[in-house]
Amino acid sequence: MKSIIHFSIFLLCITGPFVALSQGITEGAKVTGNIQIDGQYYTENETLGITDSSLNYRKTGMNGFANLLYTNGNFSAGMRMESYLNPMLGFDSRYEGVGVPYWFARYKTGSFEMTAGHFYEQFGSGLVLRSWENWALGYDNNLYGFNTSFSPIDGITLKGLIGIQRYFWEPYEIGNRGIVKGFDADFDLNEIFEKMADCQTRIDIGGSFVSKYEKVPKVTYVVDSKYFIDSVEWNKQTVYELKLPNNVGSWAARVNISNGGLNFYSEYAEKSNDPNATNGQIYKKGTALYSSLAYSTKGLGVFLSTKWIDNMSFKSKITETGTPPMLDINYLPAISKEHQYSLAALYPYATQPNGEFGFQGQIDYKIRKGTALGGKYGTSLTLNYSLAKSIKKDTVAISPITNSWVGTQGYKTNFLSIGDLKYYTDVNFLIDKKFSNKWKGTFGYFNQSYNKNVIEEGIYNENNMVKANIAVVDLTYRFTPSKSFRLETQGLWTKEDKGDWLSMLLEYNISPTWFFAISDEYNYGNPSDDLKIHYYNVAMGYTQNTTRFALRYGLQREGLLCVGGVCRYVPASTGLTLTITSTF
Amino acid sequence: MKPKIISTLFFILITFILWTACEKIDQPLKIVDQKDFPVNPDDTLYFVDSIIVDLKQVLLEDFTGQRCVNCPKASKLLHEISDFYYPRLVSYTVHAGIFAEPVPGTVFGTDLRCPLSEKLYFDFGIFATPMGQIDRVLFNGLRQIFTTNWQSVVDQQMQIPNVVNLKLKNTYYPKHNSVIVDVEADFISDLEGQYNLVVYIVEDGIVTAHLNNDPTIGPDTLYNFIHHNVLRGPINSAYGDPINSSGNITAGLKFAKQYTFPINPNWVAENCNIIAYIGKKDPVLNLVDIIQAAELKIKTEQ
Repeated sequence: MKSIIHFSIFLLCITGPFVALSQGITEGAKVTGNIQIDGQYYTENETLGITDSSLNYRKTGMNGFANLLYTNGNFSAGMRMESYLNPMLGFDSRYEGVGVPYWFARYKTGSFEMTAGHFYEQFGSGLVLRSWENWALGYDNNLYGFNTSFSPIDGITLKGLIGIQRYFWEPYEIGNRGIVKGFDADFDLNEIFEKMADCQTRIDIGGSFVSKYEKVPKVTYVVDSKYFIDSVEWNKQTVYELKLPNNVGSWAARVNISNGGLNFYSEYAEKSNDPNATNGQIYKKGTALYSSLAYSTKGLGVFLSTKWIDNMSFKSKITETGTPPMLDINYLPAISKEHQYSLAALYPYATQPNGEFGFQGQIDYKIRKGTALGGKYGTSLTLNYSLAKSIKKDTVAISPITNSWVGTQGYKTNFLSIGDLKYYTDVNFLIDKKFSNKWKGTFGYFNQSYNKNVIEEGIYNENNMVKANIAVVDLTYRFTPSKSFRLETQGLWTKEDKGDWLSMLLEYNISPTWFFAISDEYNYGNPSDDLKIHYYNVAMGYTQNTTRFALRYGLQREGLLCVGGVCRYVPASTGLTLTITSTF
Repeated sequence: MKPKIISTLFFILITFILWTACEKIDQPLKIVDQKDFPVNPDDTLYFVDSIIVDLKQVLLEDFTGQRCVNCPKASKLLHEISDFYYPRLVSYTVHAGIFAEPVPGTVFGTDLRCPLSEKLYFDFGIFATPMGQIDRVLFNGLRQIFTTNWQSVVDQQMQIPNVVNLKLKNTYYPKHNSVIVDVEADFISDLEGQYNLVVYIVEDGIVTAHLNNDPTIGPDTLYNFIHHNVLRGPINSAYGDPINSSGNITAGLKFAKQYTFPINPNWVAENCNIIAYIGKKDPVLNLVDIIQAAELKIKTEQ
């Protein structure tokens, strides 16, 4: 595997000098790391349709990683080894294998920092560039190349990078993905200009440009037109080539203004014509605006954010699709709340890169202790609302050559226009209350509308809107400072999709060593009697120093797992799961 | 300030480099190929042949008739000149006038005339056969040239420098007995006047009787006389399609035309040739002063 060879060379390079100067390797050096191993043993379940063949005759699945980080002064180097033997259910089968998909060496001298190898980077809010990784999601789009950062004077930070993105274990070859180049400049005006140094209002502006080069495939369309000459039918055949851009550029400008507890952030981005599999190969430019306003003071926090996205899927391979969507160069921030309670997270929102308007508002308020409502310990209230809708699109005529919108502008839209189609709404209210030294509780209500057609099927209508009400009661009783008992009950009521659910979790903790839990999610309202299933689980965990073992046996329901608006489909499964995590 | 200047310049440079790293595509779909062919897949069999003429070639129009007793001798002469200048002399026979009229019920019953041949005969005022027109130029004040002067006029015309290259391509579809003719003229000199492109089809090797008065050729009636390049008709029209609408042609002008032509089933396609020529428009005689001519056999098999 190429990456292993690369990493071996890299290790030789960084350890060679240390061997020569062996006393230097330990002087001031620090090595840290962590390991996680997730293993599953699967069993068949006829009701859920889990059979040997649906499991592809795999009895087990194992995902694991180990991070190693070496730091010594201004130098650091690290690596991550990963293994998927086999990939656990729900993870892309192309992950199967073992290797080192991530390693780097970084040093800093003066105001200059250079990273060689693999790296993660983000410009602004990520509208034009974000490389990131999420283990649970099975998502990793780290860049492999060079990343530099340079600060010529205080207040100015310039970044430049070039690299190729990770695509499972597939080595880079011309044509199998593009090369990403990016530049970002950030200006902290209060630091640059002495007159503003003492100003309470702090202003930071920035700009980014990201470009992708890809050797694009040749796409042709054949158009036939018939005519007659002396009763003989002839055909005029015209071959058209769809000219795909080898280079696609995007840029963004941003501003951040803060004053005390008030913070305003806004970023505008554009992308040049980028016909790809996500947007149906249309040639319209992409546009995005993301803004947020936050205010916080003692006991009160207000956060508002909005986004408007039009045709902003930006990948380093124009034919790439799939869940989770790999090879994303940019990131379109999710502005719906990610819920920790399982039934509240049953219908999560997935960002729609082809066009969406989103809004989220949240108020966090803590009722002071000693008041009638606050009680002895105070009470925390959280009210959150999020909305995602379509943007208004006026379609243009289809191309007579492709007989579709391929090769056209696709549609027309006005900047910040909002369409009529609702994708998602979520209103939720949480009360966090400590009653006594022994009792505390969280009470929540959620009202969600989830457009299943749009979010899961890419069908843009309201014919499959799931409207759900969810309630949560989460109580914890602490027997002693180290022993506690938690009862979590949830209910989800909907007339659509799979109907009503009830969930209960009992958890006993002996801190910091043991925990035991049993839980059940019961889909009692499923329209099909056969699918009124108890998704029961029994779990226990043991922690020793920085190592934790957790064992769970039971049924996993199918659904979407979303992090930051990026989602992965998780199929139903039954069996035993072992998780080991350790840090050093 | 120096670091500020450097960083600003650095920023501008990098931004410029990256800014240019995107492509705006105004016309996503462009034509890369275009072709004509019969719809029925069985009809897609075709044979192609082509020729490029980049030397001046001369056109000789031989006005004749099968009952013209002097015409076999003229035909023989034409062949001798043609052999000498091969392949630069392009010729066809124009069967018209009283000696070309068929006599039903006799060996001269085959009609080798066509509307085009009659038109040329009358438009150019041909008063006797055999008679020739060589590049339709004037010789001794006349465009009708007697056989005795054919050699010298051909010699004269062969000396004229080439002004236009002519490319001729025939694509023959046996199933439909049709030919697609592609003609491309590439002018290499400036020319004054308006010019037309003319494309004709001729049939070679037609065997019929011919009267004769040259004993060196044969008896009075040549029962198996082989008629060469008999003019059968126009592919476009008698005097063709205009190349330029204004008064002059500038070197570098390219003119291309495609014609689809179903071949008359009474003709033998494998003996047919396509003749293309370019002449100057004339207010009285329609088209004179031929500047280039090309001939290409229709290829009917591999």
